[in-house]
Amino acid sequence: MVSTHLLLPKIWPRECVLAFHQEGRMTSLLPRIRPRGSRWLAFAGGAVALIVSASGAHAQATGVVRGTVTEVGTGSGLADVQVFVVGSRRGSLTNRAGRYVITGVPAGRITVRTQKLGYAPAQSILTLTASDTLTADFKVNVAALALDEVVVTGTPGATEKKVLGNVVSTVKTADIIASVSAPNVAEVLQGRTAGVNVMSQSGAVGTGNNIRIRGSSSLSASYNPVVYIDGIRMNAGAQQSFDNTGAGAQATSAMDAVDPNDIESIEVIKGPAAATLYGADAANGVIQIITKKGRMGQQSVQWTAKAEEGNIEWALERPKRYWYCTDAEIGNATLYPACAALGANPSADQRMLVNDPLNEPGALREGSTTTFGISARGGGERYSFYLSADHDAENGVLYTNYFKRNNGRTNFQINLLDNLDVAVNAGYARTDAQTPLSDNSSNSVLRNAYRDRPSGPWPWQFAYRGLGPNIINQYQNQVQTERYILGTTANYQPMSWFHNRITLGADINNQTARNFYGIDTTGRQPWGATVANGYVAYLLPTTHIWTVDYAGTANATLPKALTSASSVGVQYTANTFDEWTTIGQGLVANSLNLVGSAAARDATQRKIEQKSFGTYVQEQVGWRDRLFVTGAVRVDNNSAFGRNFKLVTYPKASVSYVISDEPFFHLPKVDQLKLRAAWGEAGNAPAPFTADRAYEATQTAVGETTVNALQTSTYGNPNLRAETGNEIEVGFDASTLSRRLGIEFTYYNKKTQDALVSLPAPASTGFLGTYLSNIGEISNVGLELSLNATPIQWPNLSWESNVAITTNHNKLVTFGTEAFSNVIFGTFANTQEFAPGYPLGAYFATDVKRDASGKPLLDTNGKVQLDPTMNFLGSSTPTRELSFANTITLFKNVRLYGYADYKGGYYMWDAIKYVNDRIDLNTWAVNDPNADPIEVQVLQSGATKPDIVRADYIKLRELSVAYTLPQRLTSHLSAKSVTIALAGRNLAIWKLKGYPGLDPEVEFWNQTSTTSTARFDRTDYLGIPMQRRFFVSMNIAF
Amino acid sequence: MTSRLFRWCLGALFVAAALGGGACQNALDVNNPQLIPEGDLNDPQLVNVLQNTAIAALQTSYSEFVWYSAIMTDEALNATNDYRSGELSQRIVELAQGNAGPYNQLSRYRATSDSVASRIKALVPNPGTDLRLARALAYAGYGYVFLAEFLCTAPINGGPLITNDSMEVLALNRFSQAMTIATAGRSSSPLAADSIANFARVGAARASLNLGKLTEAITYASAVDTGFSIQADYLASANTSLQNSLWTRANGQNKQIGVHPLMQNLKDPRVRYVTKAVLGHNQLTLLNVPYSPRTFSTFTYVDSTLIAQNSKIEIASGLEARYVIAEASLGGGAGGWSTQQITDFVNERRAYGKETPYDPATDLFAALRDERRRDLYLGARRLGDLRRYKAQGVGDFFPSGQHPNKEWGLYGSATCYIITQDEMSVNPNVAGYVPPSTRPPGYSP
Repeated sequence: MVSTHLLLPKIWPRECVLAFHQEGRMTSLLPRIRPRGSRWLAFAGGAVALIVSASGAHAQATGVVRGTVTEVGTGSGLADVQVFVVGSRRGSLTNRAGRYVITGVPAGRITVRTQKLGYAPAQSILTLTASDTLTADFKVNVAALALDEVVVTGTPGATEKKVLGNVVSTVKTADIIASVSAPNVAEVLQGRTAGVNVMSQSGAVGTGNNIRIRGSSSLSASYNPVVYIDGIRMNAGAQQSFDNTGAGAQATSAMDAVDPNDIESIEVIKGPAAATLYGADAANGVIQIITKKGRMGQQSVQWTAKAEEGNIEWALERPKRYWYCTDAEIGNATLYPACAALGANPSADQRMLVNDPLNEPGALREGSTTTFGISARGGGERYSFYLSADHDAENGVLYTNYFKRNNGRTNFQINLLDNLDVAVNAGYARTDAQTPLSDNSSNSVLRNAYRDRPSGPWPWQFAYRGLGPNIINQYQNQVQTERYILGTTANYQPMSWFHNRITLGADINNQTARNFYGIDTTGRQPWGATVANGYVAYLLPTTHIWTVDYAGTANATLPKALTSASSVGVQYTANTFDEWTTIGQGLVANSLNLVGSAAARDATQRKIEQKSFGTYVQEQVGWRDRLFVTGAVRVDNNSAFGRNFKLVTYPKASVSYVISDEPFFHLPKVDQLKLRAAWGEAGNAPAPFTADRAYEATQTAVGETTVNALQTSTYGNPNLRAETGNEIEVGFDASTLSRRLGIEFTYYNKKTQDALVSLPAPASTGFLGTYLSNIGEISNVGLELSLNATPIQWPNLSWESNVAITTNHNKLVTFGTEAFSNVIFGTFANTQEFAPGYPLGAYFATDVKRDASGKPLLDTNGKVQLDPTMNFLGSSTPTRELSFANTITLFKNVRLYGYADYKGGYYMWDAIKYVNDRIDLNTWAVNDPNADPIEVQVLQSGATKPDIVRADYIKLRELSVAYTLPQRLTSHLSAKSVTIALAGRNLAIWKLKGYPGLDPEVEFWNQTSTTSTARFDRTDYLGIPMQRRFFVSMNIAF
Repeated sequence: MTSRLFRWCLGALFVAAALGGGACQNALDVNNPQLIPEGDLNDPQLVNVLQNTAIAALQTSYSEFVWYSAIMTDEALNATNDYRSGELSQRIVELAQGNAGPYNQLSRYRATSDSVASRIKALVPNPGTDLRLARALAYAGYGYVFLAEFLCTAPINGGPLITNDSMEVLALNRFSQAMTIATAGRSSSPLAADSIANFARVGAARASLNLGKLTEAITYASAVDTGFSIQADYLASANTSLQNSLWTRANGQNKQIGVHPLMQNLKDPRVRYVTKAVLGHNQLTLLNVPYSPRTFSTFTYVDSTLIAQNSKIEIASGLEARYVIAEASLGGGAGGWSTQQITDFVNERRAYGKETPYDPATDLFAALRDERRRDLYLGARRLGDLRRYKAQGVGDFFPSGQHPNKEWGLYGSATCYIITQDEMSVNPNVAGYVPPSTRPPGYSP
């Protein structure tokens, strides 16, 4: 007894210690440890007691439970079902045939339960005698609504959905990946759950995505959710590299380090009402990635291997360029050589020159994708594991685009005591990517193709305005990443009513970006003077995010059928960013390309730290396991707050009522109904070091010497604090039609108060750039509806269908100051505004003056007249989204999967068409000899309305067919199952409102952009459209 | 159980509060060695760095001041792909151009150098003789001169808009202090003190000339050593802030700068250019790219040399002082040169430019102006000169009519740059400023 006291924190109440001895198994072991007056001996005795207790179960009478889990209706065996003994750590995962074995089950009366996302749990009560083997088979029903499904909420232990007053969406990633592979986490999320908007920035492989949950909640701070993986805060933003700091090339994403094949599920906590416990960064929602785990008690190891091969192709139109030669141009061989080459008096047909640059050699290629992966999961009596290794390689359709990832994951869990388990999760990824120049880069293939004038001249390659692929494809700009996401979580339940969890972890993101230009041999410096003599540069950013998270919950049964769950938590997050840049100019030879070998060298350093500390208290009271009321308060501090501002408090309250459990509930056809409502606040911290007015180090020359100097840097705001997201959500979860149709409906009203507005620093003070001020208010209101249905579940045919519908009405309520007028911005023309009363970044357009019938008014010279008034057109981000996924299984071994999504109610600025029509003069619209000259004038007037177009579309995202070979064939391979799949992604797009650009999904600026105008800029200008992919894959399970 | 729960909750709350209130005060400390809080600048150890800061404030932007002076005048064509920047060289200046103009850079230079001078004054033990303070003040003075020559009107430190003349007066105040301190502190370093004094004198002469105070201009300019010259220093470095930014504008595939047709065919070694025109970055404008002009350290009288990373640019010189004396004398300033002295000076410069001697039957001032534009070509003087000529009734020599890039149409009417919409958004003292329209007839952006 004495020895174990030494191992327990002294602050614990005596009752805890006593309860530990009473409820734990140690009491039977402790008499073996006899202290003899020595503290050291006592300590050693205690340690031994703990270790021995970890294997104490061996001495206990145990038996074995085995059986099969099958799906009701189809009768098929279900894989990856967790089957476990309630109240113990014993359990197993079913194999492909649905079979399981649990060993080491304590003899006695036991309850065995099944659990799998999308299925109703089943349980069986058995009486097991020592050394006996019992069979427990389960038939589980597809459950369109699973109120007892457990989710991650910030408090320790499993939280059932039924107690939550807010919606938490679960994306069954493992099931999705089984149907069609996804290259990254964002594509797994895309369209899978209501309220989550994922906009792919570019069709280049390896590029990132932009994720918004319930609209854009911030003008100047991030509007992206925070991401956790197994409880560890992870970097999910854009990776740094050369040429991607503006709009020159799209950035890769730090989320790429996570292999979707390793993910069991993703939970999305959508707004402040649910995210209060996550504190000052969570106002934009929280994404919890839960990786695959083994299961204790599972005695066999499940091996799976996967191989996939596919192609990537530019399946969209390749725009032709036009030019109608005038007589003057035929006479000007310098500026219009192709016209001059026509000779005198060509015919009208001859005068129309046509180029097709993207079909020129070297422009585009057929890309490829290759994946190999292997994984194993299993467990023993007191441990479980999941191991995986994976290799992905993709080559994009542009020659300078590739992405490679080699990654591995080890998830290991050990049950040291019956009331203490420790999990160690380690993920490693090594990525190597190169994204091509695009968007605003003057030297991209697309830019020089789209802006080609068939009249010439072509300084480098036929049909290319500036550089051609012969030069562009020499571009070398890689970013390599070494990524370690390490975490350990200890769950300690000293008493049955007291659950503690502590998580420690780190996300280590080490990057090396390299930019190299060989010595120019053309004499024309195609890449500019800076690099003409050879250039090599390295960018070495490292980001370390440390997470410390403690949470404790005490459960109590109170009188009058009440229950209580009291929780406290403490979180500490430290984010350190270090970056070194080294540049070498002037190489002796291309092969001697170390920075140190260059004639001129430079090095710079950046360092940014941000730390946050938060603590919360939550009380949850339940009544008869059907009515739950929750209240919580969180207090946060953050190093980014101004010196005049220290702590911020976020409250929350919610109620959940499973009214269908009431005896009086009799709604026809409704099997389950939960009503819920939640209100809460969460924060969105400003960027680090934006609060201080400061100077930064620089250098200047004095004669031939460099000397240290300073220059103005941040203007600062000492009153800076976090934005506060304040949200009310109400809704219901229901199942009907014998639980075959599940409905989740939510209405939310989210306000961002003290919104961070980026104000320009007054340059007259010497400070440039912007500073943040908490003055604005932003509103997001919307509906979310998810329908999960199993219309057919027959032995040889089953059909599952999922629909997610989202609306979002975003509005900048106020800037909070009269002095700050509308912010007008746009690329190539003023097209968007931050204007009170309108959506953030809404489109406003100019048009020519028109009469009442809409015809352009002409001046006395017969010219159209531009009306400079900017009139509101609509939102720049989708206001309506719908996704529709279907899985049809035939004869138990053929699975068809299809998934389409719709985005609508928004506009897009087709800037390339605007520039082509007005400046390049190379579109058919302005060269068509039969075109209405007035309409041509309109296109060239500078009016933006003709090119800001409704962008509504439907995309057929995924289509796959998978065939699982019959057992008699797979047994020859010593495999348990072999599945061959043929799949396609981005197969078709239907532009419902006639959007003329290639892809209304692309983003001009990338995620590294820090200004609010860049983040909301929705320009379609030479972004790389989504590419069509086809691939064939084989999955083998052993 | 209830009692136990209560005690546990109390304990847990205590732990959380203790962690939050005490231990975590230090846990939130962060470090960013790149930034120096403004309050930390009041450190005597930083005086030399502060002096360098005043120099850096000008040098970092000086080649861009050259650019902005050139593109609005008859010195250079601008082939930047950004059409808003292109508008500036069409003499169209609008708030909608955002930060395309030089206002931000000029303001940063002016405010930084001025505030640095104030800090040094408070930090040094002998401000009346400290040459570091004198140098910072001289640089601060030029900050006001450039602001006056480039901007139509501008605010100072968040204040109201002030006129160009007011800026010149503020410049003269800084130059005057610099000259006084340099003279008083000469014993500590005569060469440095003389250089600072000459730098301030040229600046004072320039400001006085702009103000029409011709006698004062002559007085200041006459005290400048003939051989004096001070440059904005640039290096052949991988650090772009140490480079002459015109190097990248004049070289490489995406060239941006070309010699304006009005400065071509002079056959003058001071204004050389590549005779074969090439399409610029916008793929529209044909550019005859300039070689190093006389104001650049890479200029040689004999050969054509490319503008380089390390082409230093003359900021002030004894030659410029002589031009001030000549112009002020022609305008009637007292104590200056006779007509013959001016003629001799013009002929000296014409000989240097391989021109025939000045024809006395023609306008001497026109001849003087012609030599000045050649000698100070790409020297960040032309915009101020043209504005002065126009303001003082000499004539409007801004380019006008059809722009050399015919697709753009006519020149607009701007003669100066304007403040930004951003400044108006956050500086209530300038809200409501409405710059006049500078668009040519029929122009739409």
